[in-house]
Amino acid sequence: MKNKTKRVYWGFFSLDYKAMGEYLEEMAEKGWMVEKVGRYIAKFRAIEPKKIKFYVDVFKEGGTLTPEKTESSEEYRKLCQESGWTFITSLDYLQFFYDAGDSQPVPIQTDEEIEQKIVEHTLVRTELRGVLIFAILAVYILFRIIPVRYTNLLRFTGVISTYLYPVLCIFTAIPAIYIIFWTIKARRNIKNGLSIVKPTLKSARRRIRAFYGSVWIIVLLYVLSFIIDAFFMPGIVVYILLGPGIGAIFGSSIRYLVKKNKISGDSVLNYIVIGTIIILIFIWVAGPSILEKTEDIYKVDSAPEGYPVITLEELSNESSPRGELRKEFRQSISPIVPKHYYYWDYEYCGDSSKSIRIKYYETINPYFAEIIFNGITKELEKGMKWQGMTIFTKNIITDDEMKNLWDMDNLALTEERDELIIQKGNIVLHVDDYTRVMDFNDKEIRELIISRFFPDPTVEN
Amino acid sequence: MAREQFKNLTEPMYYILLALSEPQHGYGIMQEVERRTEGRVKIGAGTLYNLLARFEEEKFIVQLSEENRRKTYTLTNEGINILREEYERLKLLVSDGSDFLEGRVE
Repeated sequence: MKNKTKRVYWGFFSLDYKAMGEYLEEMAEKGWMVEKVGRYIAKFRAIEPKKIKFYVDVFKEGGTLTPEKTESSEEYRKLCQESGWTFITSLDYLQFFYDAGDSQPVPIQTDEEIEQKIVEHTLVRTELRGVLIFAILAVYILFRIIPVRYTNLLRFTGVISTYLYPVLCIFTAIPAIYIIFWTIKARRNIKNGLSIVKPTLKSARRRIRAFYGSVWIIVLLYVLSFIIDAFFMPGIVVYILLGPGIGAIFGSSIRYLVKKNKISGDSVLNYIVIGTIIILIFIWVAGPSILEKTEDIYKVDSAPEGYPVITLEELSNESSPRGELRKEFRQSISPIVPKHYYYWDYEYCGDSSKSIRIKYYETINPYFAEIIFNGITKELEKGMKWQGMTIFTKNIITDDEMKNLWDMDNLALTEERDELIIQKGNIVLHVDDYTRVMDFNDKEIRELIISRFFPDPTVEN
Repeated sequence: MAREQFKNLTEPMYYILLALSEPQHGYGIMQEVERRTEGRVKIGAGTLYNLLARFEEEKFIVQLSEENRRKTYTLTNEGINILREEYERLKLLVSDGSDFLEGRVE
């Protein structure tokens, strides 16, 4: 019994610190005494169920990068101890005490005005800073995902980001609204000689459910999306996770060392700057090699069944290839584009090379197919940015006569006629023929492409 | 500006300064205030800690010694002046009120 411990999800808003004491009292009555409180998890130890009085106070010093024990915090805790409150643990600015001797000690804060000022200078300021940082980040990300980018529709994480990220932003506005509401009410109460805002445990729990419940569901969906995407694009996913992963480990280590007084708070900034530079250099050096190593994963002898492609062999008049052949195939799925793949057929002959690149997209709805079609054409027009220059820009032409001939909903060609983008219903096809092995005006080529990629569903094979 | 905040002392502020007419440590102040007011005014440890920090910043009190994380403070001349000003103010309030209120009671 003595050694029995359990961990419980915490998740209280810091401004609900008065409700935390009520919760800890409830737990003690059930036979659980709090030992340690973390941001999301609190650790409890089994005790004989009894009534214990707790007090959660806000100390002027604290925060993520402040040691647990400082000269002033120790002095303050000693004063509380002498007045009958035994210190248990701390979480940033919050200090957890209990009455060990049933002596009914004087509450730690007896001046509401002073208390309100401390809370505004610590909890409110920290929370608002956090909300502000998130808001800046949110605006930046929202600009990157809205209007909808077709490349985001091709990955689970992309789809989640496009359609659930705005929802996540709305939910994260809850704390901001609550902080503002709390501050206005607290100021008004103090001005009118009333006591500071004291939320009930019930309302604090409601906020936890409303905020974290929704946020965790979205985070879980993000994690699942990453796992699914990792199956199809291991290199890219590793590359994306490399920075945040190393950053999180580095940040947690720094925080731990500061909390345990292993490094001084003053030198934290130096460590962060040096650490960030090292991480960025590492990603810059390791990133390309990670991506390069994953290239081999996509090398194939032929495309799998059910994934139509056009090969160089079938277009060639020669009986056997003249040079070295290389084939690459990669596929992926997403909730909006359940089938999409890339096929590259390449023949290296020394003096001349031949190549066909095919990108096929099958969406759940023609609306998304049109987004993909427009996205590809815009991407070609924009070209690529490289060392401050824009390269590989293409002029796109639309040929209505050709569109009718091909019987497509949308058709676009590059001016050089080396790339063709066509869309019919929920299917989009992008053929890149930069070595000109095909003539898109040729009837045979047209019929080959249509019959292979846009088969008439009424005609059975 | 900061001095303005102490133009009118609150009850706990007044009694804390009064308690520091003799050198005292934090818990000693709490006990002394409770003794002087016969339990009417009670000061929490957190409130006291913050007020002591502010008084020290304003040089109303000064730290005399520190032993085992227990700091002992006493009033400075500035602190005595603040206390005296408040005393005079309170006396004036009582005097102004008594002319009318005590007369009416009688």
